[in-house]
Amino acid sequence: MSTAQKLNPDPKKETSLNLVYLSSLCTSVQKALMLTQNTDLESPTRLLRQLYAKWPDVRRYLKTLGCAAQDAEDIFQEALLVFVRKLEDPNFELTVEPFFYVKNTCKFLWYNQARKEAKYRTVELEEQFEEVNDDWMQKEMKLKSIEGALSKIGKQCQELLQRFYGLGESMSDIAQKLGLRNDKVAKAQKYRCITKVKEILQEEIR
Amino acid sequence: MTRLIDQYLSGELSSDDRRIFEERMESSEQLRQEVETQRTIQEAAKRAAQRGEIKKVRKGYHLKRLLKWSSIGLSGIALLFTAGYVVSNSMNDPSSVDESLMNELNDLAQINDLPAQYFAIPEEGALVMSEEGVLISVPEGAFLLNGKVYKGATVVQFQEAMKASSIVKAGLSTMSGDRLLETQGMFGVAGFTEEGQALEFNPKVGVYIQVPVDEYKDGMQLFSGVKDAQGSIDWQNPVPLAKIPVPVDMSELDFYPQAYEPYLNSVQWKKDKKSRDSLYLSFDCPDCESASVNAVGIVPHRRITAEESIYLYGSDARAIDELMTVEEALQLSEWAEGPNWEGDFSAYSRDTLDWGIFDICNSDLPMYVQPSNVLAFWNKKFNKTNLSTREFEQRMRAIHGTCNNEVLKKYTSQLRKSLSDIDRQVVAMGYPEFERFAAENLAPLNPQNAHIDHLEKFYRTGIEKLQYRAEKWREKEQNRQHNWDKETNNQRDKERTRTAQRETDVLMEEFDFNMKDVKRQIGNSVGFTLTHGGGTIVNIDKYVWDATVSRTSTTITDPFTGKTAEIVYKDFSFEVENADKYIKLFAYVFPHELNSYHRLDGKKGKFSFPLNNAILYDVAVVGVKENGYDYFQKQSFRQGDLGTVRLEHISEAKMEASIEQLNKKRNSKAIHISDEIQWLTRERADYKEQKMRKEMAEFRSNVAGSLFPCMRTETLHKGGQRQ
Repeated sequence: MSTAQKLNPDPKKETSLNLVYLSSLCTSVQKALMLTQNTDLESPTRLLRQLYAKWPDVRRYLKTLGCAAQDAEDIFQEALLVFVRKLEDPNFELTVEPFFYVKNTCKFLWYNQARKEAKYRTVELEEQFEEVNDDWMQKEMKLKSIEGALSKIGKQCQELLQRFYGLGESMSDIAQKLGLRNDKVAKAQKYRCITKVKEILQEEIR
Repeated sequence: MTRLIDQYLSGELSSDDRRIFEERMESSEQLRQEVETQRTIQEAAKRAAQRGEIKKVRKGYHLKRLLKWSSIGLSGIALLFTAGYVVSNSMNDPSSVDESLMNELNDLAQINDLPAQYFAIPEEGALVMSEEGVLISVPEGAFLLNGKVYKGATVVQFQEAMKASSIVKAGLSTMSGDRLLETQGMFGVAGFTEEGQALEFNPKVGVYIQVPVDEYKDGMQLFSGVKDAQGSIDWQNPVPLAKIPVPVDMSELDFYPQAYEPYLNSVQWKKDKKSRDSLYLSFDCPDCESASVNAVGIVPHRRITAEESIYLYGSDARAIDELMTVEEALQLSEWAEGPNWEGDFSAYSRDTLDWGIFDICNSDLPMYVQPSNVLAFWNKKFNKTNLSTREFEQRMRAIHGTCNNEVLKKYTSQLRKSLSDIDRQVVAMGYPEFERFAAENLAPLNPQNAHIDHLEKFYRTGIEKLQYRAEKWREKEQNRQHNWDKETNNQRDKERTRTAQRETDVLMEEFDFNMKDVKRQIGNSVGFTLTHGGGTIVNIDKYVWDATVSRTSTTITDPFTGKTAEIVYKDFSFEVENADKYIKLFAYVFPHELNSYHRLDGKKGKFSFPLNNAILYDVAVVGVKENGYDYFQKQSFRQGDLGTVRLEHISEAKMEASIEQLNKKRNSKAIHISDEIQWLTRERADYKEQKMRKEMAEFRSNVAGSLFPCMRTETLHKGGQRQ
């Protein structure tokens, strides 16, 4: 911090200055307190657990939409994933209950899938999902397909990329965990892995 | 290229390289696309990792009953059962038969030219072994005298020709009519009263004979020898062989799942059976059992085969009721839908069943043979039953393989039946792998034992007791963890409040201190204003406040008197050696002139904090590590760079005392620090606790993998991708 002083524009308030500073300090302390309490105990995981506990409800719901048993839990998990990722978006403001959001996403994902399988005529679908079916969601769907390509590379490659890009672990940590000689080797391996994914994507386009 | 793009995306390029790269991107559409692809791949990798997290939650949800509580008091398990009853089937000494009687009986021997052995059998029956290792079991009432059951001691005459040489020596034929027989041994058995009177076999009880063979040959049969006029024997009336299982003491048998002990040995876990039983029992899951009973035991009375589940999902329009009765189908739906099911029987549809069967085939509810059901019979009480035999030991391995508790129950609830009878029942349940057991054609071990009724009842209460015990441990451990977490969170809450309070206090105190100092320097000037710079009027308080908050040196000039006052902050810094090794690392800075103190967190072991030059300071640095504390202190300084500081190991009591001393000696009103130390020790204990829980959870999950062959154990993180 520099020594430049912020100047008080209103001289009439001078005498009560001390008090003003004190009260603002107190609220900031309170805020800080609340913040630390809220961020306690890795809350996204806790929220996920709470949402997962409602799986039977979602299952029943999806069933009423005609979703087959073996697809339902995949869809539910996909919806949870979408939700968790959406939470990371600083511009995203949750206007509904998290569970409602997830449920609606499930519905969207299921119709989307059903439409692909051409089992359902979904004329009214486009309007119905305006709130979910945005660019962002399209991007998520694209990412999902790239995830598919990722799952085709070797297990070690997958773990390496996930640890680095997903969990943000350092190259030397990863090298140790995967039994690679050092971070340099891990890094070289990382490039090889990315190249492999690119090749798979190339082939898929063809 | 991949490498370059990756470096660009991770911001690893130098600014020059970066500029060149971006220029190239401007001109090349292809490069732009490549960059975009790589960015998406990175994002997808992150997404896959997040999916791994969700899978973890899923796993947690489905297995919460089993693995939620992660550790259990593994000591102090008292086995449920005390010493069992004593059975008097000791081997009899053949020499106790009277010699003159033996001579007399030799003439009556079944097979000429073959030495006979004699065994004295008491009235209550006995099990004896011949010289060649043939087991002869003579139960009470095995013989008839003049058509009536003979009661009293018996002398059994036994002749054996097991080896080819003795068969030839005795001049025995191996002919049945004009067919040549392959033999695995010939023997003659006869019973006599102690007076030498011949007895007949009682067809209702009989004498069991078990012949040791090097090789089990299918289709071996028992032939009865009939002497013709010349005295040579023709073998007639073949009957299939039945074998009696050999009772072994329970302590010599192993009924654990096959991979359990090898796994524990590989991690050098406790060797004694008590601990291992206890660990095994801790995996008992009564809920899982009821799920498997309902799903597989009752409906549809057998395992649903993979094939069935495939065409239930397929487009094959075959109706389900070809596979099971409507009744079964309804039960199945009810089970699948749970207690919320409306019970609309008319809604019996392919769809509902689809769900039901899906749940059974894909449910993560672990299905396995319940430990309580195994441990309840694995004790002395069950000696001398079907269950205390090597034969059952072999079956038990296969039973674990079925993962179906109902299979075990077939054996434990029918102690009077022969194992092979039960094997056939199990085959009918849909486990063809038990056919090889059924083919052994075992006889019941001791169907007359009146004890068995009691044992079956005893077994059921035994299971209940074990389940109760497992549940109690579970509850106890859950409560302990719950209370621990509650107390830890409680202390953390207090610590947060305390820290907020202390930070406010120390700031206000230092502000007051600085105010007094400034006033001392420029004279008594309370409340008057100063013009500063462009003529804006500010209060002296504000200068001092801002200097105190930002901890920076400031010079204040009184425009009326021209006097100046200085608040001086000087740098103070140090770095802790090997900071990584600490769970927590704090520096406590104690100002001599103030009552409160500062707590610094530092960044990766680097601490820097401007000190008020008008105040004298002490510092105490505490590094919390798993096995104790490291400590460093320095007293009475105002500034300086201490360079790299090495913390030395210190006992908890000594650390506490040193900090208390530093805190108190600076001034008489110093605030208490004992709460802070208490919190620090709690954090250390909690670190150990959490580590222990994690290790225990890992251990349990590994053990579970070795215990329950049907349980799907995907490793976390590695299972991040869709299968």
